[in-house]
Amino acid sequence: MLRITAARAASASGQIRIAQTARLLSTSTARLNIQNQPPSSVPPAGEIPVPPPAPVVEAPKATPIPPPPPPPKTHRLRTFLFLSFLAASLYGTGVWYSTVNDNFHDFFTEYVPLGEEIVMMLEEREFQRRFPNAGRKAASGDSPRVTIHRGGATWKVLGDEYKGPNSGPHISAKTPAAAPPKKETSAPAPAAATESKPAAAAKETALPQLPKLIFDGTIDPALEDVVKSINGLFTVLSKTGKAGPEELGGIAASLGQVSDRFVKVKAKYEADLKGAAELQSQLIAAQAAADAEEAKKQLAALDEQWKQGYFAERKRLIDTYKQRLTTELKKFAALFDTRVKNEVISAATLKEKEFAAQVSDKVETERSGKLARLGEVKKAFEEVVELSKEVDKLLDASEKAADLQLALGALSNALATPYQVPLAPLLARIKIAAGDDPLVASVIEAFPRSAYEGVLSPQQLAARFRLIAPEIRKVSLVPEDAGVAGFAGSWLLSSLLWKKEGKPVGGDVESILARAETALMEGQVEQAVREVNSLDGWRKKLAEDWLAEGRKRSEVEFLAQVLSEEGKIWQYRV
Amino acid sequence: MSSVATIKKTPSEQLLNDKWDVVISNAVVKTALGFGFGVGFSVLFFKRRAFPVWLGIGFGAGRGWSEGDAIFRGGDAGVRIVKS
Repeated sequence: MLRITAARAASASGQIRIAQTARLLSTSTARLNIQNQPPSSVPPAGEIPVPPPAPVVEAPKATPIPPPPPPPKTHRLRTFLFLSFLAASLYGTGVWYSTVNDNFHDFFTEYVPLGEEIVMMLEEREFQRRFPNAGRKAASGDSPRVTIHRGGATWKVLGDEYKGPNSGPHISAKTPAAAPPKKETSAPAPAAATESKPAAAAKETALPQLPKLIFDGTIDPALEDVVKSINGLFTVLSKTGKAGPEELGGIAASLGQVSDRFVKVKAKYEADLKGAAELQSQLIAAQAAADAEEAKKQLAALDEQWKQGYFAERKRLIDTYKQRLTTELKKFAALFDTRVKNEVISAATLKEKEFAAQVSDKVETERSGKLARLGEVKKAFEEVVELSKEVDKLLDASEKAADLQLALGALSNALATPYQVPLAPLLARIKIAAGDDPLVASVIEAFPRSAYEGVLSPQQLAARFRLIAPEIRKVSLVPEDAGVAGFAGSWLLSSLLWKKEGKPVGGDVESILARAETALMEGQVEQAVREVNSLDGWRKKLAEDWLAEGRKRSEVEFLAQVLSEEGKIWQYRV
Repeated sequence: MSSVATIKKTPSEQLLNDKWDVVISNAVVKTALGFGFGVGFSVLFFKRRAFPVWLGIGFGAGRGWSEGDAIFRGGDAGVRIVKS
């Protein structure tokens, strides 16, 4: 709204701005003139009609400004009224809107001059209109006051009406006679007797009527005098307004009497109280003594009771113990008797045994004397039996040895034949004949399995050697790791070699073959095998089968030799 | 004497002869192959000239020789032994 106001103000002052510009220009030119001219010659600003030619920037602008317009119709009053109305309406709108909108209220009261006061005043009025009686606690001295009487019997609120400062006449002032008169109340009772002489009192003076104390028999007679005196005093006071020494003396005398009586009564009660306390203490002491006596008696009775119980228990225990002792003594006596009897019986048995042993000893000695010869005869017979057994054994052994010899003969015959003979049955026969001879058994075990079918005879070996000898001779010159040329060359060249015979000396193939052949001719298979075995390379490879046969033959020959030796030993053993 | 024939496997004295059989037959086959190739080349490419034939024979014989060496040395290079 302020913005709008400013805008409007700006638009309204559009005409004024032109004048201001003109004024500015004139001042600037004036300043320039000040610079150019001495100060003494400075004319008043509004009187310079034409700006001088100077290096002023605004100079060209100043030229089009026309001279001040003629003052035909300014409408100043109208403008002022309009502006005033506008400002007033804006202000009023602002005030009204500030009561509606809280944000605008804050803004308005803070930034618009006198806004806060006006808004506050409006709010106050509104509040007063709504709640005319509320919030009128302005003055401090008019707060309601409560007074409490000393006797505490009654209370009374004084001045509890609100007395606002500007709310017209005081409420209490409207009804001044309506205020209740202040009443003084005396302790025992509200005076009913004050109305006894209302007329006289009203006649004499305007003194207030004092009440009379009246007790209808509820008071102590000693105090009646006092009451009478006081009533008299009140009467006098009601009548005259003052009291003389007579009335006061009467009251003092009656008070003194009362005081005396009170002292007496007090002394009497104290004495009574003391006597009662003493009596109480005596009673308590007597009670305590009686209790102590009773307790002693009870203790004594309890003691007596316990003593009796103790003696009875002791007697019972002693009886029991005696009874048990008697029983045990009886038992022990019986046991002892039994034992003695047993011992007597055992001694008798021992004696009987000794007697029987003596009798048997005598019988034995007599019998051995008679039968001594019979033992000798038995021994001789046993010796004869032993001898016959030995003879039998010898006969068996010789028979076995003969069998073995026969079997060994069969084996050697088989080996000597010029053809192959199966050896297995011969070996079985030898084994049976030899029985459990370990040497024969192990020798037969050592025979090669392939030999069970038989072995080649020396003649057969020689024939086979003649077959393989040319083959061996063909490869006699083959070098190690030879190829086609090596084998072909050896084949061709070996045919050119001289053939040897007999037992030539030398390590060449021809010599070896010659020696082996000679050995075979002589029947020395083992020697021939040894010679052939000394060959190497392809020569030995070609002779492998023959070598195996030869070895088998020589092994069998050796084992047969061992068996025949064993057979000879058997003959000697028998 | 005839009982020697009971041995089933190749007798040791026959080992070398068997090898010779294999080597020679192999050499013959390879030489024949070389000859055949030589004839073919001669007819097809060389206007029936003789040298391709000799060259083929040479290749075949050389091949047979080298395989023979290998056979004698323990291997069976270039030879398939078909077991019946």
